[in-house]
Amino acid sequence: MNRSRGLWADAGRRLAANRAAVASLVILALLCVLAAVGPAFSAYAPDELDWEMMGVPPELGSGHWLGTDRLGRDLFVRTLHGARVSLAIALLATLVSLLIGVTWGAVAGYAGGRADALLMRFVDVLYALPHIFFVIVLTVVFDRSPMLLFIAIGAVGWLTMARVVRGQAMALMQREFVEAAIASGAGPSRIIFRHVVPNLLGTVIIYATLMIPQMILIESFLSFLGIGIQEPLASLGNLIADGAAEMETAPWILLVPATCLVIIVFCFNFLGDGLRDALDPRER
Amino acid sequence: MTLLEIRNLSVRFVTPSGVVPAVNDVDLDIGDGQCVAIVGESGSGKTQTLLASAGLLAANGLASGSVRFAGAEILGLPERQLERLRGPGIGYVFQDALGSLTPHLRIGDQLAESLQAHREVDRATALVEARRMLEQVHVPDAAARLGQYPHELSGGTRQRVAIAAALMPQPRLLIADEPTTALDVTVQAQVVDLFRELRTELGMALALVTHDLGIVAGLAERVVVMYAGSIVEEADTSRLFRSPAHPYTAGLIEALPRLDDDTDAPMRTIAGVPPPPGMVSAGCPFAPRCARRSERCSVDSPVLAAHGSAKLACHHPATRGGTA
Amino acid sequence: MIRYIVRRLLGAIPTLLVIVVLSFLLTRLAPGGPFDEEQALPPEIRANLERAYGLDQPLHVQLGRYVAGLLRGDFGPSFKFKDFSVTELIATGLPVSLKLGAAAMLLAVAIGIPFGMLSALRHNQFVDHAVMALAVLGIAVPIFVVAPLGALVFGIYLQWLPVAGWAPGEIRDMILPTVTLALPVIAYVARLTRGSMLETLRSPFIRAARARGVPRGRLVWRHALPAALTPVVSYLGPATAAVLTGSLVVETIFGLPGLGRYLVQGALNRDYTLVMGMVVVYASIMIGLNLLVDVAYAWLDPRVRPGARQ
Repeated sequence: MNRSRGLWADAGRRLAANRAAVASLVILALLCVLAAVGPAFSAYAPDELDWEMMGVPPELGSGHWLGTDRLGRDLFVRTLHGARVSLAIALLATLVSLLIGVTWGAVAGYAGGRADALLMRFVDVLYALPHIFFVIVLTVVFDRSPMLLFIAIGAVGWLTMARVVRGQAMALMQREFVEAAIASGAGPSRIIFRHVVPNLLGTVIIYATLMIPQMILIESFLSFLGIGIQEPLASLGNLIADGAAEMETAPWILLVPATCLVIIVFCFNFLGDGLRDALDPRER
Repeated sequence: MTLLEIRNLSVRFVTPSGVVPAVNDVDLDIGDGQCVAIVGESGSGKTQTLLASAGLLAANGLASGSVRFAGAEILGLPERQLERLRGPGIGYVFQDALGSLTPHLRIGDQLAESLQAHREVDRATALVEARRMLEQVHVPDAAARLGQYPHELSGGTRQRVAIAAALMPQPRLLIADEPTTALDVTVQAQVVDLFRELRTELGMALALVTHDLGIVAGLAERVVVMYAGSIVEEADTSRLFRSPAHPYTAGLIEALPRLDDDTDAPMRTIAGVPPPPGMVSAGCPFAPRCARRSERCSVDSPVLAAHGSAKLACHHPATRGGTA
Repeated sequence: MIRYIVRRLLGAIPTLLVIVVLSFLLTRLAPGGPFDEEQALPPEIRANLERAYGLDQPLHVQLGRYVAGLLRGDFGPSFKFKDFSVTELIATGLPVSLKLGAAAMLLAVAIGIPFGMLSALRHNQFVDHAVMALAVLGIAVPIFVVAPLGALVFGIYLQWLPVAGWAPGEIRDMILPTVTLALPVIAYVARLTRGSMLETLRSPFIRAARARGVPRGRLVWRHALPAALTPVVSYLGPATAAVLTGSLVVETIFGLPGLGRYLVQGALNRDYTLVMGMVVVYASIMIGLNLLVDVAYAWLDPRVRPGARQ
């Protein structure tokens, strides 16, 4: 136990030495706090129309720091709201992917042989197809409910996770402590969830961090096309779609949420890369 | 005349964990038409010495000192000039036969290109030459091989093809870096025979890198023994086998399997392992494994100096029949 | 080789069938139907409509009819574009999407590979760092941000290029959508080429070719490049998926009458047959391209050629 705590402490130190990753972590933490509580402190509600200030550009004096959209809604508050929705859906979708992917991969890696071949063959077939089209079919089925959107996104995002986990699980099955557990008569579920999965934690954290921005992008992509989150609820995707419609006369309506999205995606990617270097220094 | 003249050659590698020395202050001469064997365990610096001599060190490798080929300095030469030297000047045969042939190019193309890179010949002529060369290195069914890809050949044939590719531009010096290690025993013997035959036919100089003293005996005129990045002994082959002066050399020779040995006797080996590169402390690097070490050996590093007709770096060399 | 291609084509049939059945069942399991949004249809009319489209039949009969139709090239009627069959919509959309997608892929390969090579050959120099910084940007900034920004800058501010439209034969109309669509793929191809080129340049056969005095140009183009391209070729499959996905956005933003726009509209309208038809077409394109990729792979690496002796 001491040894593994030492591993995590080492990883923490390596991560702290990576400036891009630390900066990303700080920015993401700030954004999350802002997205969670920021709107409550603002003078404006996300769906409140300011009849005297429709489509004003960003200006400190007006009270609307980042301007308003065509209907006079405060962009700062709406973007934070959009970020909150996007982040929440991405996190939930990642969770769904994790549950399916880790279980699938761990079982395949544990079972080996024909069961493994069958499970992974299924993953290979799905892998070759454009995921987004299945998400679109699923959103048609689920009637674009934001509650079910993350399930649809998560349901196609688990393939990579399953592959990675399976590879690691197969390696773990050869290790002494797993062999010892098998010898002492532990059942399959106990071996998978008490011995194999906990030792995959590092890998899972890395891939989950890299998966979140993918999920944000899929959600925003669908919302941008109008198949995801619907008005009046805001997500970064439909805010960008609103902005794209108005960009000739009011480009800030596009630029504010687009910048926010790009920052989030970049930060998660830097953080994920940093975590990979910290937790698995042998790679690269 | 001296063809290859190495003076004070040192090779260092810049790695994320610091600078690692691989070769320390090596002097070596190879005369025109001469065959010199460089012997030592892996990590002794023998390969890096010769890679540096052909300008083929890895990107993080730094060579200092001087390497002259036919009188002209090689170290620090721009790649474009090295290209002209490699081939007709220095040929190189690597240990990894499959790895030394480009997997997606046909054998004929690779052989022809080795020639065309250095001589104004058309493709057809180069291919005829290639077939002739394959026959010279005893590749069966040479004409058919030209159209094949490396993965379609057996290990021994691949090594013969790699040798043929190096020989196409008729190098004055052929460096063969463990050319038989990756091959099975019968093929090893055939390749050694091939080298002997090629030397008499083509009259080129040969630098043979190996950790196997067994193949040295019938091939080399002179032997250089390296240990931990330095030369520890250099002598004519017959003298070296007859009376090795350095305890390490003596150990290597004793470790050779002998035909007249009692088959039940265990194989003799040198106890211990060489120090990892960069971990060499003061004193003789071989001292920790040496049966003849004294106080002096762990403080004072012996330098390579004349020892009769040979050269030696040892405080307590063996003489015929005893220790000095 | 031809036998290999035929075998692969036959192998694709079950995959395609799985896709058809899966998406068919999913759409039919959906609560609510395509006529829900038309407010308060009288029950008789609704029943008539459902009968007209065969929706009153049991599920397996509907599926059987659909598959039988597909074999004849009949994708069924569109529920929303009432005057058109899905087949007609595909026939109008496919050429546009194919042209756009092919141009984007071509651009990605034609720009991505040279820049990746340049980066690798100038490893750790300024050019390398600049190209890789741009590549990171190209990969991380999503297409639905790049597309409107591109339209804003080049179409509206600079007025260099038209923002929308797709006049036949008008090259200027194609530039902005194609480049937008290609950008992330260019970035990825460049990064992949660089990484794989660097690795190849360190491999033993390159050192051996150098040792034979093979001149630098030949070393790079004949010895290193084909070996370095294999991962790039395997990426072309996923790249096609990326381009197809991106084309939904690009066609919507730039108002191109392609498959992507029909798919989006079909999804918005819950137009089952249209969505399914598009999914079937896209999946077929993907399968076909994956086959093409495998053939290209065999061409680059003799070791994986069918019938090659191992």
